[in-house]
Amino acid sequence: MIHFGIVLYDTALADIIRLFRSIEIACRQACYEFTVTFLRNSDEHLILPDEILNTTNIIEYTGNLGFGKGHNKIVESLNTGEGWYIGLNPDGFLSPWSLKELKQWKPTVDNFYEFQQHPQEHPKVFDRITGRTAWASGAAFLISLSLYRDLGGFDPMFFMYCEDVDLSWRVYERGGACYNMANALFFHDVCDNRESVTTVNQMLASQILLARKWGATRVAEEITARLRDNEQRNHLPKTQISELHGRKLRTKIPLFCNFSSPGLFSATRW
Amino acid sequence: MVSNQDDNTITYILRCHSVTCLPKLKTALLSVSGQRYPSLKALVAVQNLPTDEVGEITAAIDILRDVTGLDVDVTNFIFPEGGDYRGALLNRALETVRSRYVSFLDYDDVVYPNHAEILIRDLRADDHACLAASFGGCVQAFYDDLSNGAIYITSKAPFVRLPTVLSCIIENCFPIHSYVVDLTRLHYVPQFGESSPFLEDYVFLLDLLEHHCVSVVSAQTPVCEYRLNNDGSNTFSRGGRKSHNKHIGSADLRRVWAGIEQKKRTRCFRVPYDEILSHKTYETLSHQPLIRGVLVCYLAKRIRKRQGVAEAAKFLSDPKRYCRGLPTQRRSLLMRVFF
Repeated sequence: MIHFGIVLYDTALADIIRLFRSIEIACRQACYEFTVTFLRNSDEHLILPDEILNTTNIIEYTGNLGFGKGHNKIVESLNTGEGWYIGLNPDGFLSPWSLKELKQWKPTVDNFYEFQQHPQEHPKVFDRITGRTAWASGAAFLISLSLYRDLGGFDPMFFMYCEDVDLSWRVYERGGACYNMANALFFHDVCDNRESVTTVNQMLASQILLARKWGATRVAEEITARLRDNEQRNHLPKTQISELHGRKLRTKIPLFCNFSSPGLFSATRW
Repeated sequence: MVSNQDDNTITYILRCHSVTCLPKLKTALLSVSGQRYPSLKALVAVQNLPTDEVGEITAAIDILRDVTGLDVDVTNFIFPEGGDYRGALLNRALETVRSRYVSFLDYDDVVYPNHAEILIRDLRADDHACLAASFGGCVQAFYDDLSNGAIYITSKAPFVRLPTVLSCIIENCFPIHSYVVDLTRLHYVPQFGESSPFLEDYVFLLDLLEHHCVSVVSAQTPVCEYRLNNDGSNTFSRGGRKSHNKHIGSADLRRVWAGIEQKKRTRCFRVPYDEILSHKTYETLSHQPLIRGVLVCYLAKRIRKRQGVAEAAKFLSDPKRYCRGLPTQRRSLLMRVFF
């Protein structure tokens, strides 16, 4: 059984319908049973059509939880520890053939998998044969529910961005690995995702948390300087960065963590 | 071809030659179906395919139609057996288009989600009746084939650094999927070259630029990806300078080039005045043969020393492609700067 989870935030109805249809058709093509859960992370008035309301679970709005907490809440609501969880961004859709291709990868419960983003791939390196990669993207991912629960899901400290890198590294720390499924495509529009200064600052704030958590103190300081500089140049208020009290902080950067490419956390292909 | 000015639909003509192209055609169609622009159609143009192969392509396309609602058809154009009709295929497909806008795409390339949105916006921003096409930026991606139709992109770079109308006339720098044509503004319909399997798209562009103005406002905004197999296997299907490198020895290609050069010398083209003023920006390293020669020799020597004669020969056969095909870690600083 595959459980799909989608965190909605100001998502257009047309996008939701397209994504839902793509899930239905991809599952039909691959003969998978599935459930779909939507979590409303914004309070907009959105009337979902009956075809979706009657066949999916909807978790109503209780405030904007952020990306990771949103997925954690969906998994919590599933009341099962068996099967697989696929998290998808609401602004994309699955290729109808993606889940059929997924079978070829023979996913195992200890590992964390990402779908290939299309048409603009992430530049990080992956192994041509095994698909092994430094981390798996949260835009479209596959993980066993047992592993997700064992790891405690996404770290709620990250509101948005870098929570997927953190989860990937925790998978590696536990002895698992991350894989890219090169022919299982997820259409994702990233043409202008990084244009706004606010978005860039949110990313930097998350990178600081990630660096502090994984023992890269000097990197965290460098990113903080960049963030403050950005704020000053654009006359923006200071971004609050959570404190890491009571958390497991690594004193030495583990070998699987890569802080050499800022924001990419991996060797890149271009 | 009768196009309606009030119908703002764009039709993507996808060129596909055989059913073996289906895995890549699916990814090309997926990129079309995800366009932000709301009014879309797609026409998959195939040539001389048996009915069962057309059926296979149609079945795959039906599934995609169910997901995205993309209005897509497959048309099998019949030509005399035994020839290569890549230019004619596009011309025949173009004749069937009834929408206002049209764009072309090869089965192994992709368009980005902003493709139609940006290029049609540029066309609408200028209501000059002569403006018939808008050009966008293109990224060239070198890849290796993996199993099951997957690919591994080894590197990406802009197709050209400074795409302009002038550079397009001098040396074709806009692949077929980097522009959108407004059919209602064409007073002369350009034709893809049919006399040869090479440079058919260059013939079309020169025709277009001779009779119409074009917009290059977004020529540096990436709107599509031009995918090149590192083994050179899909070079043949390309127009422009990428194909002539591989077939430089071919007498047929030399004949086509000579025809194109002749056409360029005897015709007038519309070049924006701003580009004429700043024409020096077109100067690039490729036009400094001495420096380029020294650099290539130096790199070839280094590769021979480290990796042997065979690898050096591979580099010398096409230095730019070789360098861009290497993973980032294996590209030296010189390769990164100059190629």
